[in-house]
Amino acid sequence: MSTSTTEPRAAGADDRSVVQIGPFHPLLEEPVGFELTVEGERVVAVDARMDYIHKGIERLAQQRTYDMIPILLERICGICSVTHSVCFCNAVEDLLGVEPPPRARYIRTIIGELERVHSHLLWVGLAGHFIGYNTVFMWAWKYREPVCDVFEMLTGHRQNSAIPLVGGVRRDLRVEYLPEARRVLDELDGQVRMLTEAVLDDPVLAARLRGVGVLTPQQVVDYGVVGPTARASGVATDVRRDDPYAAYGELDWQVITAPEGDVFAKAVVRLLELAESIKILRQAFDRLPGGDLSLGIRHVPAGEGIGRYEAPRGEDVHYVRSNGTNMPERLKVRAPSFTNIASFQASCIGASIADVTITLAACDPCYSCTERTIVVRDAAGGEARAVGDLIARSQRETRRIAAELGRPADLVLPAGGAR
Amino acid sequence: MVILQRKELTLAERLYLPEILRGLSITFRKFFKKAITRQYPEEPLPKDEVTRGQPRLVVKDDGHLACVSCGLCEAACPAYAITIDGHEVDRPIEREPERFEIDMLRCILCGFCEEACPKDAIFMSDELELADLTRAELVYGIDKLKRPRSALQKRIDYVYRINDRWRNSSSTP
Repeated sequence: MSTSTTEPRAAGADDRSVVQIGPFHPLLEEPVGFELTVEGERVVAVDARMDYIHKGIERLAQQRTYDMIPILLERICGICSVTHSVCFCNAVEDLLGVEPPPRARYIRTIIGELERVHSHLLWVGLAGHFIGYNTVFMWAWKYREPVCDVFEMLTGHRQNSAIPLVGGVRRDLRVEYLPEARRVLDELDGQVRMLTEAVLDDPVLAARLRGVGVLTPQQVVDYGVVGPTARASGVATDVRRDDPYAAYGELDWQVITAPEGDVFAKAVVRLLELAESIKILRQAFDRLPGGDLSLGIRHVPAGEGIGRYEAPRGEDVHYVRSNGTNMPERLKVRAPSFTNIASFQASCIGASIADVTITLAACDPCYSCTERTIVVRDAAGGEARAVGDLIARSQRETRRIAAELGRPADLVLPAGGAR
Repeated sequence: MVILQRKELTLAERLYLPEILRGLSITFRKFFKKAITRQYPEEPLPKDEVTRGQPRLVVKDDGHLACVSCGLCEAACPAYAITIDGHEVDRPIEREPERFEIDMLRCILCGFCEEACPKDAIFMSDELELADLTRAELVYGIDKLKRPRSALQKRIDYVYRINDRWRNSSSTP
């Protein structure tokens, strides 16, 4: 999977060279290193180097109580803060076998969809910026601003709501503000429609983005790609529909897909999802039920739980193991970008360098979500830290732990290694 | 590579000037619209009772802190930002903080301290600006944290309101 620079060059590939993108690069919002092996202008291999912003949050979470952890997990990612805290709550509720009260589920839906709206608008703006089309950047971010203001006026903070709680929500939304929030949504609806039409009709964007970074449905399945990146290749996967949490099962909305699989399709899927999110938000505002906010969970028994959540970037998975104390014994976060980043192996090979930059950004990768491990290169042992090595290492460890625990065979991966 | 067919331009479009004027008319109209940018340091940010700013300590009308240094906020703080040392006093509340420090570099403005406090002594203010030249200056002691009750009244009313709603939540929508 990885192509190291020290490998002997293949015959006939004397004109190969390596282009570094990152760890600090205008294209990247976060530090991550990409190593493109190119033949002339054509990329023949991609590798990523991570662990620049490892924060050790999983370890910290194992030293915090169940009430504190959602607040800590909001800090995993700058954009999907609701995602990680609600996903953790889903995991613990799975362990407990309970479902939060209706009002709590609707409040989670509202903050989750507001987050999706501002995250997708952020991506559309950034995508415009990456291809040098700063008008799109300015307009999309202009529309994002009122959404962040609504988020603040409902929860008290622009990003970190501090609302999710195991078994419900911690506080009520500021319901006095809901009519104003609805007015902002009405305004946003027209603006998003205008932005969608402008992007769909724009000949420059079409010429730049159509046919770039194509992922076929087969590759999507092979790499386990999730979220809008998979839906843009015609694979209709959405946790909100497949395994409904919060109030999604009771609301009327659609999973947006596009058949093409290129960057343009990814932009279209995200823009159309904005309209769906606004639809969900309006329904949730209308139907917001009364009742309790929380189940008042006082004790988490020993056991295991898995939480799923459709983040703006795809399916987020949290695993929690409790030993009956007030702190979890283990918390594992599998962020959506973890699988999406691996798909660069499929979408970037054979493209030109200029196309690769926008393809790397097209799955809206979030590196601080993804970095769950740190491996320092040691001069004697030569411990590698490229993505392929890390995946191989994680599979090796999984097999070892499964063997140690004597777990069922379905947990043990096939011996094929990284795909 | 995608080949796009450009659409045929009409006569008005080919004349160039009408289109330029149409574009400029949008520009001129924007002069009279309200600017969407905020000139931040000069122009204050929109704040409301719901805004969770930095935590502040309430000074009661008799001039003493409402805090009895019970340590509940210290225990609830997910960032371990609060340090309290208490001592006994002769007043009816018996204890008050000798040292109450919040490390603003650690504080994540989550509002747990406000929620944990049994004496309504700590509230999230609407103060957001946080800058100084040294780290030590950003560990706020009682001097920097105390505020008269009137300065926090809006937030206190809001917290009371949402807590009432929670208590009666099964009856009200």
